[in-house]
Amino acid sequence: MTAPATIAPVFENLPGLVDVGVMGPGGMPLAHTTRDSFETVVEMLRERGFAHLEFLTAQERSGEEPGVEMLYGFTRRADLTRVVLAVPLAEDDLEIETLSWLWPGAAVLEREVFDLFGVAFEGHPALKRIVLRDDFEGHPLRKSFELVEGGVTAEQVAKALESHGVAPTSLGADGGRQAYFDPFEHLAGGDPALKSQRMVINIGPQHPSTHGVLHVYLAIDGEQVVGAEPTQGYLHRCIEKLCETRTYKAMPAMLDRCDYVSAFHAELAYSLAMEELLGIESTPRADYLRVLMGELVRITSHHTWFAAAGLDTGALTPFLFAFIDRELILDFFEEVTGGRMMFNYIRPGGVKEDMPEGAADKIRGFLDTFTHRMDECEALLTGNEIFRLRTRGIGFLDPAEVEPWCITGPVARASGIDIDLRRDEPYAAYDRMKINVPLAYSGDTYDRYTVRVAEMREAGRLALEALNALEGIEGPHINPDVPRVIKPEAGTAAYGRVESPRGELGVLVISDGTDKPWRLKVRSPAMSNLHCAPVILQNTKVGDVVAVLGSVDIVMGEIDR
Amino acid sequence: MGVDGRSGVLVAPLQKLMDWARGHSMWPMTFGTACCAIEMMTVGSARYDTDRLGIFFRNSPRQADCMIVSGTINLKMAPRMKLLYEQMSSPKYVIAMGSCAVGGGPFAAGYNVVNGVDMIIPVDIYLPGCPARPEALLHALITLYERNSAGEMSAAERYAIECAKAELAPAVSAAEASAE
Amino acid sequence: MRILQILFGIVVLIVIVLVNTIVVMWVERKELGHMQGRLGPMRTGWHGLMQPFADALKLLGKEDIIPAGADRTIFLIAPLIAFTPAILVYCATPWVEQIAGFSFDSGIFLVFAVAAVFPVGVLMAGWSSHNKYSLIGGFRSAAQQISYEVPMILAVMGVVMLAGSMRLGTIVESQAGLYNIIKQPFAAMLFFITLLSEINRTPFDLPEAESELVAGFNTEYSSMRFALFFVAEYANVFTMSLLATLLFLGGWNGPLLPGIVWLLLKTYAVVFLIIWVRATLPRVRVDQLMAFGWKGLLPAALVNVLITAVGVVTNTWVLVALEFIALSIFVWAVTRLGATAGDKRRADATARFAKSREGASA
Repeated sequence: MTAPATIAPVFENLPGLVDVGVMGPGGMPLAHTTRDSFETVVEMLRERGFAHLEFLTAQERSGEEPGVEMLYGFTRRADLTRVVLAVPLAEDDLEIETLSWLWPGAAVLEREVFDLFGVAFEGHPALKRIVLRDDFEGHPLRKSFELVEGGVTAEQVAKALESHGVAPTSLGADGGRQAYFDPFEHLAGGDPALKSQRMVINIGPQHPSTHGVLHVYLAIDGEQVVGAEPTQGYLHRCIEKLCETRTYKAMPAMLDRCDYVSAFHAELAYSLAMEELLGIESTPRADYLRVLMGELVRITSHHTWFAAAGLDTGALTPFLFAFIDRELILDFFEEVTGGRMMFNYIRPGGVKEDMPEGAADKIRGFLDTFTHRMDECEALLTGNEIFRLRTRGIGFLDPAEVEPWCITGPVARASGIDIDLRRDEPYAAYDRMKINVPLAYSGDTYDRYTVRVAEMREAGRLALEALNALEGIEGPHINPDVPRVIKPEAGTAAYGRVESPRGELGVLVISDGTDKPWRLKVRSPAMSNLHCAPVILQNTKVGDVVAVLGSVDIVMGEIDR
Repeated sequence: MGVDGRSGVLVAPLQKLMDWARGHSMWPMTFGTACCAIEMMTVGSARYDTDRLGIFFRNSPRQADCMIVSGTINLKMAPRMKLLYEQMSSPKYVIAMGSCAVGGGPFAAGYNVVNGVDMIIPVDIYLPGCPARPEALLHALITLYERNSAGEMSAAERYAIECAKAELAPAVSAAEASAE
Repeated sequence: MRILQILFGIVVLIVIVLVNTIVVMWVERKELGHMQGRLGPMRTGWHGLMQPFADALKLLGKEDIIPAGADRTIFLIAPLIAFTPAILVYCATPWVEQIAGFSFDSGIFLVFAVAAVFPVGVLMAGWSSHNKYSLIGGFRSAAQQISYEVPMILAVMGVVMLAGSMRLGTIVESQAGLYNIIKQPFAAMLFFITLLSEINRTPFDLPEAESELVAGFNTEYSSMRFALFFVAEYANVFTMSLLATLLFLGGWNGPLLPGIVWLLLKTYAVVFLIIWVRATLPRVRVDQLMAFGWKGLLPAALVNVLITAVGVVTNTWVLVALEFIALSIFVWAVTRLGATAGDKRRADATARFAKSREGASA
């Protein structure tokens, strides 16, 4: 964590800074600027090495003046300094310059802010709603948008159905059809020599291999992909807004449902943020329990991805094999936390409870055979000629695209970008462990596959290491100093981040002094990774699309929130 | 399949045979949206193995018998779900899997989540849980089979009758119209 | 009397085909189940034996949907066109001789001619469904079947040259001493690969690639029309396995047991192998499929014809030796193709990316 003393050089000689300080007890440097000098400041920060756009979000201004405050988090990879830039916008002029010309990946993040806060972005390539329906009224994350008692009304549902030509009372075949929408009008149609025509197909929102409810507009010429545009929002569940109505202690249950295949990581990121905000520490035993559970859940998450990787390329058996192992790990989760997928286990200050008697032995028994089990799974895909034909040399991601598209996690590591929060900015007990970061250098689908498989093996090793360490550590599983009612100081904020199976997952908590957060933002790694689809789908065929998108590992719950 | 077909000397044994066939060959559509979808995948995996019961996931709604709505449905997804439901060929059944599909679950208070899929389509089985366990889903599928064997009407049939009573005549499907 | 005999023969043939189709369906689900650490159907009859009946009955009772935008006439007849050849093919099998009392001297000819009708039905289904996935599936099917029919027929050419006849019965009788799979292992390999493609099985199940095209060409079909496609597909599995048995595995030749038992045993061994492949392999991509067909299998099949010609003018053991050498080379080449897939593009990318990483860190 950056000490306050280092703030000065970061912001030195930047024009138009209104005031410089820290965000909260964690000491993340925060600078306010005005809309006029915003672009200059960002460009200068970028020149100073702050090239990774960690998050781009907004919050309601808490002062007397109504409006929205844009929050930009930047990271300098070289020395892992993080800064936050805040730009207040007045209510009658909710507009700011876009950053999408510096970070193409910022475009979707800006669309999200536009959707949820109503902030317009000047110069944005395609500013339209991304998570909510186009005919949705209001901007839900504004405080002026109040939740209606009873949630969504029947009229709203009927209106949504009717807008698609689906009769609310009909039971029969066919129904209406969605109007033909072609987002690729700018592309030339087909191949003039072959006299072929461009065709737009909608993959999703309900398709066997969209891993949930992803929707991709795909422009194809024969079997060749000529354009791809992912859309999202089919699983937007108002999590960020609902978090503002819940107390701090109720939050992990909500965040579990964000990234539902690796729920521990969202809990952990939130707990880290809260610990920073409250100035408490978790106990050594809890640290190792967090590592153990985090690594086990990484394995199950990658199992799900592995199953999908098989199905996407047309192999049935990897799914069955991976799920046999996954079930065994879920049994441990059930024994330790009580839940198979939604744990509500890691909380500020520690974990809910210690491992029950005998659980450690069972987990050890599994981890001892884990390498062998992985060999069995891998035997189905890794060396398979057809799988190699399908994945090698397809779906390249240039490392130069990683920072502009805000990509993190295994997708970045497969392109040779050596980043891993567990090693670079250790949290929990990772500072006491040796972490090997698997890397690959061609950035194709196969490399993303090998990196993840290596990560699974590494996770198995780390889990075993944590288990061994737990034997020697006694003590409480939760810090007794955690207050009964959590009320962080007003105006403070903290940002907790962890390396989730998909990349850097962050939770930004902003307090207003009450027992409920003022704003809670989840940085979704999968969202940024997904929206680089137009880049990685270049020069691919229809058959590749699902395999390449699957290699990004999409979890819609976390993307839409 | 008409409601009247269940009585009658000649038709009854045939109906019994059809009920047996339907019960033993329930092909659900893969309609996974959220967390429950992972548990729905799990139910097809080796430990639970729905294939034992003849349950085998089909991707195309046209060939599916039952729709397992596994996960949250929001306003953006609702028309798509309705469309897919309409594309299924009757007799068709719906299992609302998980709290979200049953009644909005933890997101019921939100601004975007449909509070229960029965606002949109007739539901046969409500399966609570967040997410519902695979065993529970198996139980739901078996319950559906038992109801079928007992000759109970599907929710879609009941809904059609209610509509007829209320003179709300549900839109007749294109295929039914063409068959007549 | 003659007509009665023929009619009786037709009925018996249809029954044989349907019964075997049902068995193939059951074998597939059980075998896949056991290979994947599951059980497969268990509750419908003894070990799920009645499962295909339940499926068929249920499909009979479903609503028959014709999509609003579909080309009605073509949509309605497409399943029939796909289904008919699955049964018609059996006219050429030696069974017909026993049951109906006639045989075709150019049996193989008839088999391939009739089997070639199947993709027409698939293409019609894909075209008429008013669905983009179906359309892509239909086109894939047409392209695939046309491409793989050529090497398939060429692979069978060798067998015909050895037997000196196109009559299936004669071909089987010619294998009384040594089965063709020993005499022509290379041709058998080529035939098996092309067979998988002809019946749209993994790794060549592109027309109904589930992860890409939902359900491919039959996406919009429901009820009995879908069942016809479904049955036709499994009937084709059985047909092609039977054909492989007759052409390469010596048909009903075998010691002790009666011929029909040997025939069925061998046929189901091939069925088992086909399903085994499904449980193991992913799916190839459509351009790879085409490249493999035209650049790999076609020249290989031509080489096989050449080898057979050499074998016919010299003696059997020269043929066997040459065939084994060709087979080894072929297998080596395919393995190498997989091992080095995309190597060049990956090496280029790695070099390019190393530069851009340096640029980023500088």
